[in-house]
Amino acid sequence: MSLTAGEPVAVHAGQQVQRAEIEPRKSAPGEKQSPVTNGKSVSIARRSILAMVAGQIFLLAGMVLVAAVYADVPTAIYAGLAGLIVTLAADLFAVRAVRRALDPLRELAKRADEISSRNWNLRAPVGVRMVTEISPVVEALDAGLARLQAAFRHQRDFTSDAAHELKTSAAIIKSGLQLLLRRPRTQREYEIGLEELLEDCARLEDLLERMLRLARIEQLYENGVRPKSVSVDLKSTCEAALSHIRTLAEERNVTLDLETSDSISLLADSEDLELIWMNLLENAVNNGPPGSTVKMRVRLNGNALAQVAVLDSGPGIPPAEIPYIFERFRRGDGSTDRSTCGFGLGLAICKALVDAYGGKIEAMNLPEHGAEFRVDLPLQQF
Amino acid sequence: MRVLLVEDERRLADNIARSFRESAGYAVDIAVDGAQGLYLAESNNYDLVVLDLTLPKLDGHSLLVRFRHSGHATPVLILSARDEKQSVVRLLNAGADDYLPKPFDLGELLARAKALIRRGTGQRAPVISLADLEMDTVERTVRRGRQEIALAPMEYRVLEYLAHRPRAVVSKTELLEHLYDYNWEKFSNVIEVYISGLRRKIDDENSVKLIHTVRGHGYVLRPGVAAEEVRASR
Repeated sequence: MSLTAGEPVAVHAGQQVQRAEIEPRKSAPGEKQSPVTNGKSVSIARRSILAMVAGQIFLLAGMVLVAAVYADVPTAIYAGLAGLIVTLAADLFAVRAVRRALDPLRELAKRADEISSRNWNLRAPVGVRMVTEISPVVEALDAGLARLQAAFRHQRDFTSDAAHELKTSAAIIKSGLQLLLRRPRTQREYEIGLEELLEDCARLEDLLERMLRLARIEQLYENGVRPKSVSVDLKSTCEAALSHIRTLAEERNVTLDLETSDSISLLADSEDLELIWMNLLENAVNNGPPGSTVKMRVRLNGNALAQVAVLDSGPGIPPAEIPYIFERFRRGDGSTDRSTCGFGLGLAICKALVDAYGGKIEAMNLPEHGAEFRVDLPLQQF
Repeated sequence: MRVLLVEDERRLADNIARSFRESAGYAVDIAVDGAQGLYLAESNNYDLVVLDLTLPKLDGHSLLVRFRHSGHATPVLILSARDEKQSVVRLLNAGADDYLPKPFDLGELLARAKALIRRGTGQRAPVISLADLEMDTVERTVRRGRQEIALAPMEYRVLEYLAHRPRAVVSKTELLEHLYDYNWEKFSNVIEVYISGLRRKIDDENSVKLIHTVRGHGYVLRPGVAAEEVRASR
């Protein structure tokens, strides 16, 4: 299946946005207010003009005083009045000039007001972008909007992909039932038909389970809830995952092999780790040809990381697919049989979990043939 | 009639293929990805292509564009779980003949498939008549004059194919290609059996013969003219 996902690069950026930037920033109770505003609404233009006028009044007063000392008082008064008229005229000009200088800001506000889920473009005119004081604001807004748009599109793609999968499952069950009902059948035919339908229902349940699990992991992570962490023996989580996958491996005639050297323990929830390994192993077993071996390798990577790799000797990943392989509902195009590739949620679940632990997951092709999925997890609490 | 079904969801493909075979007597080939679908569609003569949109290797839309670009006029019915208006318009513009959103009704799919096959051969009415022969493609019944004729399933399928192309000479190979799935070569000498069965049931008691053999070319369904005359006129 090939998905028409929008812009995958942007999608990754989007995932990070969803956590912090979408929520409006509220000032926390203990937070200090900016000394400039003091919590009141202010106008920078008014403040600047008031400061200017105050300066002018001091200057005029000085002039009048000097004139009163060196000439006579009436001259000083006349000079003072003349000076006052000239400065007032200049101030009028200044106020108009400041007003005009602030026009781009008003324009920007108007454009910002037009932003909605249908219009993600700030469309700030060139005249606004060229103002030295405003251009950083415009740039920051543009960048923020791009991230929000990517997050929004990511969410929309997910909804549409999920709907697609659910409708397909519904189509299978509906067509199966209608097929059974189209003509009278023997007892045996009904039994076989119903058993097949039960399998179709199990598949739908599996899909729902995976979708909900992925949503839950991502939601927890976005809300900043850290995974439960106790000291876990890495090798035993791998062994648990291997024992879960053994039946599937035997069915497909694939041998499982675990290679560990050091005893490694890290802070994590053992169920989370088992889930990651199980998904990786399931993927490898489904891709490995019958008679092949799937290898799981556990080792230390430097001082700070534990590394678990799962290697198969299947056809490998088409190079063009590698950047998108952890996206939801992605299926490797190499396999033609959908039933073996699941729903394209397993690897997305792995990525969400590894992200939640502050780790890194990578997919690569092996030099001869086959693929390797490599997970690095920090040994210490992140 | 022979249908190509391009659908990567194996269970759904099986259900559709079974209902085509059981309820309409169509031969069905299944392709599980777009590349295989395009290859089969271009290398065989199908009466209808049923195409899913999200496929591995080559998506349904690209398959359709390439299929139409190389000049094929076979009717194409699209199945898809994505039913945004835009994509429906895009598909129809790319040469699709009909569209059915998932989850669909199996009965509706069959009815639409029949209608598309009919229109693909220039027949509009579901009841095809030729002289006093009437063939109801919905009820799958055949009558000559007032006499209802009971046909064996394969006889019906042969007659149905000929009736969709009245007065055209249809070769044995063409019949085989359209009545069986890709294993058709195994059945190469059964057509004569069905034709003689049809002759016996339809023509024997009538002075106006409908089924004629054009030696070296094939068979034709047309009223009145004897086989020798058909050959002479060619």
